[in-house]
Amino acid sequence: MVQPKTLRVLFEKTGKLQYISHLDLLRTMQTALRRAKVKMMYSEGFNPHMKINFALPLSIGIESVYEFMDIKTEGSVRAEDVKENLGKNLPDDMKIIDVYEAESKFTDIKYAAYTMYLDYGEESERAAEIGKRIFNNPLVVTKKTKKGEKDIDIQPMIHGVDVSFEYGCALVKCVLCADSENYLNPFYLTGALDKEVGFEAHHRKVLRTGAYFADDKLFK
Amino acid sequence: MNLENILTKVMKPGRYIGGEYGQTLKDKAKVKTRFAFCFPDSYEIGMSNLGIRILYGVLNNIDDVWCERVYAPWEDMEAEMRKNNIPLWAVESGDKLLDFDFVGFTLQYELCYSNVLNMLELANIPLMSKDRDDSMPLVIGGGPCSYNAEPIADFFDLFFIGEGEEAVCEIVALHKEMKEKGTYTRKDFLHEAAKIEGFYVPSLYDVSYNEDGTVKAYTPKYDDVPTKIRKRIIKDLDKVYFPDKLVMPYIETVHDRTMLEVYRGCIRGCRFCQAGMIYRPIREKSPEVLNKQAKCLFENTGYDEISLVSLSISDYSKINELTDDLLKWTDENMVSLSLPSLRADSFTKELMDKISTIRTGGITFAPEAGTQRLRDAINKNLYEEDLLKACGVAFKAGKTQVKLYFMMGLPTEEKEDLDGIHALAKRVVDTYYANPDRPKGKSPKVTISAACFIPKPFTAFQWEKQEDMDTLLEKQQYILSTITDRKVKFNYHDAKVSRLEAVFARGDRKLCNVMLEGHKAGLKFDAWDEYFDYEKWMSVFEKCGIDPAFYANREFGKDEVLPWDIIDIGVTKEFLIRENQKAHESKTTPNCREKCSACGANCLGGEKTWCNQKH
Repeated sequence: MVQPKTLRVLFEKTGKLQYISHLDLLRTMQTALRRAKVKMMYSEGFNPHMKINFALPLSIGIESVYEFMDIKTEGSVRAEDVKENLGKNLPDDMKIIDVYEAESKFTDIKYAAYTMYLDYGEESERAAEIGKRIFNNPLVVTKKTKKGEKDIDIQPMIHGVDVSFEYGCALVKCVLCADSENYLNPFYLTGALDKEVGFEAHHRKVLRTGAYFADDKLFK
Repeated sequence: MNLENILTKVMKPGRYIGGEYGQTLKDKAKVKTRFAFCFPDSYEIGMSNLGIRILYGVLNNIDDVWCERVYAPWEDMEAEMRKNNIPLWAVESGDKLLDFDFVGFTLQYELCYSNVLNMLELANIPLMSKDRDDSMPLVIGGGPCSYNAEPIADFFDLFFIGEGEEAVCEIVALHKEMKEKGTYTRKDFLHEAAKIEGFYVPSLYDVSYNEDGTVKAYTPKYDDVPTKIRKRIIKDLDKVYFPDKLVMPYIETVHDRTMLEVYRGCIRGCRFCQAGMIYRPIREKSPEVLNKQAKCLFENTGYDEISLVSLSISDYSKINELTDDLLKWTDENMVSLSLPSLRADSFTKELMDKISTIRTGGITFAPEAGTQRLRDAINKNLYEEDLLKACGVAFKAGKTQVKLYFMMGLPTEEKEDLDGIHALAKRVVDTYYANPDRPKGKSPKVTISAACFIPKPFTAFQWEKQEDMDTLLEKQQYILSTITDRKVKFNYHDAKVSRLEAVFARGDRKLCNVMLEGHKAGLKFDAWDEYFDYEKWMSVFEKCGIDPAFYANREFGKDEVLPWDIIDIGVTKEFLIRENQKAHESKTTPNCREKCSACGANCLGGEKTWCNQKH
């Protein structure tokens, strides 16, 4: 009987990978793990699947430099080999930052941090001012849930926010609730800002930069 | 709006971005020839095409050539592109198609023609070949429909007929040479290209017609241009270029797996089947080479499924040796094998145990016709007892569902042949209940699927008419009325789709105007139910003064000049006439391995064939 072990893979997916859905990311990782010859553990049954688990699925249109995947491998697999071999077998816009045996659980993640560059052209400075105001006050948005649409105040789910006018953009740095009960998609913030400014940002770059425990320590 | 914003708005943006693992990027400054390989349908379908996978590798294997991929944008993306003036681009570089030397289209089915025109328009390339100047890309077509591409001849600068691994390098080399010498003009290039075997430059031929609308003659405009274009084949498949890596799509595609091409051609000679003729002669790869290639692809792709590709996989002479070799390493690597084109007469318990996708998936056979008489007439060479035996094997292994493919409207078809379809399905149901070990309390499900017969060029039935729409609809209803058993389910194809396909399949150059008008009317994605608009197409035909029945529902004369007579596939017209006569006598022809029937394809040569008559 093979003794399995769980390895945590910290990786980034940027550039073109922002347009790839969660399910497609899973398939991309499965083929990459096979190319990298990582000895994986499989589920039982007719259609055995690799045991892979992702933290915090990412919406299409968001890049990230702080993504996690746990993989269950055979016990003999070494973290540094996975780091090297998997890294060589990924598409250009994906990189492995680290592979290690983790002590925490994905359910321990409480917050996620984002940096958003929102280009409103000549209106960017005004947009930054509006952002400062609306993100620090009660902010009612229409949230889509499984039961239908609901108006809610998302301000309590904004754990921290800093808005400035930089690089000709409204630059929003924020830390949002990211646990399973309270997950705030950053597009609710950009949507609210678009609405207040009066038009959609010409260009936006949204980047996830970190994940945190309830005590604000960086999740690992 | 810029492309990045658009990408977050359209469905499945993964279709448009490139960047996949395994794609080829090159330094434009060092590249002399740029080739945009277009698939005139969605990314999901195009990425599944084996031919493109091969030729992409062949071209990029040449240092100073860069081949990129292009797909038809889905309607939501097309609307954004038109609104924001974004011309069609190639996914690797993101560069517009006008930047390329060659724009190649693979023509896999007739119903993609309207997408070709739409893609040219989206690329800002003039639709008509005659309107393109020397600075513009050369538009080249290939694939099965190029064997009669007359309905789209005016839109292409040249076509390639046959297997392209060697020829595509030759045409690119000719282009480079003329560019380097400074002798390149579109006109001179096309004239030179027409002299290379396998290349057809439609503009170099004048077509004249008889008063009744049939073709009178194809006349070359120059003496040094061939009167017939002979298809090219690869003689030795063990030695031909093989792509050892693949572009790995992010999004799910139709065939998202390794496709291992086992052999080309087919020994069978079904009389309705075009692929069975145009890919002759049969040429096999050896099991050693295949096993090595399969392993290499597994390591370089990470795909967990290998599909053995050919026209009829169980006809591969070394199928047991090959599957045994593969199973030595696939099982332990969690890789499954699939055999997508199994004949019922070769379906055995042994094979079923080996092939995991048969173990877990559904099972499908294609008897094609309901009676032995009609199966003989179409030369299917399949007996009812073989089919029932195969179903028995499947049922014994615990299967409860079987799919059966039929064709209706076949030449010589009578009412009893239609009755035979349900009768055969019923006997499959009986076979299920004859199994004493059948699972308790479960009933079988037999799904019958009936396609409409479409006469195709280069088949024994190329002269036959397709039955008119009312008859086809009547026959569909009739078959439906014969089905009394609730365990039998009947599906049938849309006869309107089949009719349009028949028109284009046997069309001549007069249809180019119809294609153009159809494009102007916004017709595209004809192969998709949600876009197919038969009534609109019919109004286009009417506007152009062309009767679709002339192409679809007319019996062509044996002495008539056919629009595709300009192409020589090796298989002779005399052979096809003989086969047509035998069909009307309900007589079969032995397969190539049993006996050579002198079809003529052996004039093309080839290694590991079954041809024993050398000319």
